[in-house]
Amino acid sequence: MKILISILILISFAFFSCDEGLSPDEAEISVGISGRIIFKGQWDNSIRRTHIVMFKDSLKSSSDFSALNLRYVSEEIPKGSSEYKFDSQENAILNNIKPGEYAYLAVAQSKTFLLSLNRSAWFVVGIYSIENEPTKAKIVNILPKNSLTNIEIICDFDNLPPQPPGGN
Amino acid sequence: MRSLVLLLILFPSIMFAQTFRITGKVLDENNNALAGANVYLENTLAGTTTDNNGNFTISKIKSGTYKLIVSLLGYSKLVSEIIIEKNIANLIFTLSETSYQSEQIVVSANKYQQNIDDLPISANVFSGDKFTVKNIINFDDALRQMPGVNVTLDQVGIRGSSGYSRGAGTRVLVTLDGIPLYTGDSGEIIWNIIPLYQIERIELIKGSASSLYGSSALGGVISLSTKKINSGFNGVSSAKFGIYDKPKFVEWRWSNKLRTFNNQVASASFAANNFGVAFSFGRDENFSYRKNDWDRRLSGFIKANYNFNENSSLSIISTGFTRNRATFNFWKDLRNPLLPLRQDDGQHTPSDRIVFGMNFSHLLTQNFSISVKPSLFKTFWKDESESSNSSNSSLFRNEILANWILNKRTIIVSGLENQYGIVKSNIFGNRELKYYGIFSQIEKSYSEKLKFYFGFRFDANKLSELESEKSFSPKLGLNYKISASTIIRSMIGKGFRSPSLAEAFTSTTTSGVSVKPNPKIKSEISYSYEIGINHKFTSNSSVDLAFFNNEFYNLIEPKIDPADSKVIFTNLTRARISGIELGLNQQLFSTFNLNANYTFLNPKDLRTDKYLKYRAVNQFMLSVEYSSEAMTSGIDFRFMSRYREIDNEFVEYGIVKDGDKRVEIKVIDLNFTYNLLNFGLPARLNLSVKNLLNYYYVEMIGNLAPIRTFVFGIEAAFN
Repeated sequence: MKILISILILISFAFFSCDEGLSPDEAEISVGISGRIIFKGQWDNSIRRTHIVMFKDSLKSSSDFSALNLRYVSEEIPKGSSEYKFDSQENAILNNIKPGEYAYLAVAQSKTFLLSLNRSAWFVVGIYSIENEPTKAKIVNILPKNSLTNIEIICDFDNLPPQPPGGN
Repeated sequence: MRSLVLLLILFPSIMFAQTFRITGKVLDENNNALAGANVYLENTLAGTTTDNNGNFTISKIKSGTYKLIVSLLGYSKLVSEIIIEKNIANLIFTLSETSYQSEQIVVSANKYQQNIDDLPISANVFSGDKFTVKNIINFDDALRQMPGVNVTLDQVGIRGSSGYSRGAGTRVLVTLDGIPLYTGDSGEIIWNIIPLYQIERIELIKGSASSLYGSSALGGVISLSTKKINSGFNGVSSAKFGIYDKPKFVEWRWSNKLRTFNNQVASASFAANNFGVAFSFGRDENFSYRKNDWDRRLSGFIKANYNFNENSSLSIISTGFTRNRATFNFWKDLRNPLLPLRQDDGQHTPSDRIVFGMNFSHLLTQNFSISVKPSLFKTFWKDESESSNSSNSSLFRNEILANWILNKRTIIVSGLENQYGIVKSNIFGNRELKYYGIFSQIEKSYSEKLKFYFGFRFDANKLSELESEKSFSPKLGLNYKISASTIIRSMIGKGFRSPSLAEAFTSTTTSGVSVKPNPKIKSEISYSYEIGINHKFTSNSSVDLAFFNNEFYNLIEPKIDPADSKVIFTNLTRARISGIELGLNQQLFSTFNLNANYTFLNPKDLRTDKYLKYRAVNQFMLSVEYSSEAMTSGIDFRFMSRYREIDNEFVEYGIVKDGDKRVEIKVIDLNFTYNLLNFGLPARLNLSVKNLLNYYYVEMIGNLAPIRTFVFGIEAAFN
């Protein structure tokens, strides 16, 4: 009888020790960036990949072009696009955007199929820039619980922005 | 063949001694024939199992006085002395039913059959039926209910031997009738290839078994035995239908349709004279509780036996499937845990896997047998996604095993193993592997109470262009029966595991996760010991306590290289997994059965003093079962403490959103079986509720485990 009672106690313990576990309330409130990219000019036939990328710190040397500094990589932008709408919470290969400041948001292209972190494989065709100063990168400031929307980056293939160090 | 000739030259008495035969029948107390009973002469290899009519024949017995043992699960063991100086016919043995079964449990952990109470290491034995009545379809779900076993998605560790390595390599060797089930390319275990309906017995051997089984057995062995083929025609059909409950949280509900799964299996066997064949076909369809997680599978199994004579037999076995499975690598986030990453949506992977094996056994004398076990594991899969990963591999393997009972106190097991694998893949490259092993083990009894085990294994392996490696793995074991109710066991030994081709050569990107090769990867080795004690309070009550310690050198674990954020398999210089395991079995009124098991682990990376990833420190299981003539019902509870360490880099780099969200695992399953034999129908109904309290947890980051599920199953036999 004692053993039977012990069994019942153990089963009761099992039942009552169970709560609901994980819940959506524990999810972090997502923040991100969204907007559109406008392409001007003729797409180069040799282009194999086009992505929006965002770095935490500015690219002062080729070593800054690293996974530790990279915070966002969009899905591939279709070749030949004239306009591309993006939302980091919907289309991202890498999305590690949290509230804070980000030094460099750009559109980069590669002539290789491989998605690599080799700096020399990429060149920048457009940057998120200060108004009326298209060559100066604008800091992306994301406030807590607020996504930054209506970002617009113009990629003019005939007038490329300054390239970060380490490229060809 | 050369070694066989050599043995005959060395031991001519093997061939020319006069031998005799005994035949008989095994019955229960109501004079019903008992099929499947073990009948054997102690300290010899002479033995057999009874057929459907309870009959047995043992031949090639030299004259002498023997202990003849008759045993069967659920019946008390019968031991009688027998003098053999001529052929003996028509022996009748009557077994009486017993509720306590430990004494009769026979295991083949040492590559020959012996009583579980004689082992120097911890082992558990389960019947396959235990899991089929619980409506379990995939074998990895059965493993989740085994003490000391941790399952992370589809990767299995025993006592924390493995965490999660993205399907690359295994530290637990799984064999089906002695044939290993790991693939040639990734080196992983394909659980769906195991035909659960055809499994008679599952042996779980805990601790390093490399000295007998070689690489992959570093953390233990799961040895599966298929059902015996009974005489005449026997058929079984089964069908299961399951429904996933709706998630408790409205924001998690992504589909208006009922999410269901179903499974059908048809099995048949036929045996007459010297030939027997069994086969089964299965069909599975799972629409899953998660989006883009569907799974469709057609599977087949065949086994054929032919007895050339009473001493020689050939068994052929094959199992395989063709499958198409959607890709769900990680959740979108914890607000959408049942939705996949956007890039996975719509992706799927077709795969074909087949294993083919043979076992030729020949009993040269009552004390010496030899067996040859060639096998082939062929696998093909192609990822229908942007990565287009694919692999085509063939792994050929052969083992020659000799069992020799030297005298009443000494048993020797020796063998040779070789493997050749060839892989063509755009993810692993075009590779080949070569592997050789030679092993021997001696069991020496110094008295009825004391047994020593000494064994060693020498292995050499070569993985494509990597440097070849060699390993010598000795072990020493002890089993001492302090009294009729208390047994001490101990084992100390060295283990090793060579890296799989996947761990050395994988180069791919899927779901934003890139993996790069490590051509400098080395084999991992372990030095382990275990001390255990088993005490039977009464014939219905027992307790088992084990202390274990494993010192790992060059342990292979995946990590993210901060330089390029790619996953790479590297050797951790030093790691240690130590712990305690406590098991309790209690039977009440021959109707209630209680099993409780607690495992404490201390799995540490000694370089960083951090816990190893995906290992729970505390694990507890409780199983209570009630059985009567017509019905069986049971409740299973399992608890695993929250993982101390996970792939934090995946969270930090933003690959898995909310990936750090995890809780302890607390799951309750219910099952109920009703046997329709009372109504004259050879059928049974099984009803199960899995995850009864709808508890939400992850085993692997970004992967919500199955929510509450209702399963209805029916099985019918045709004879």
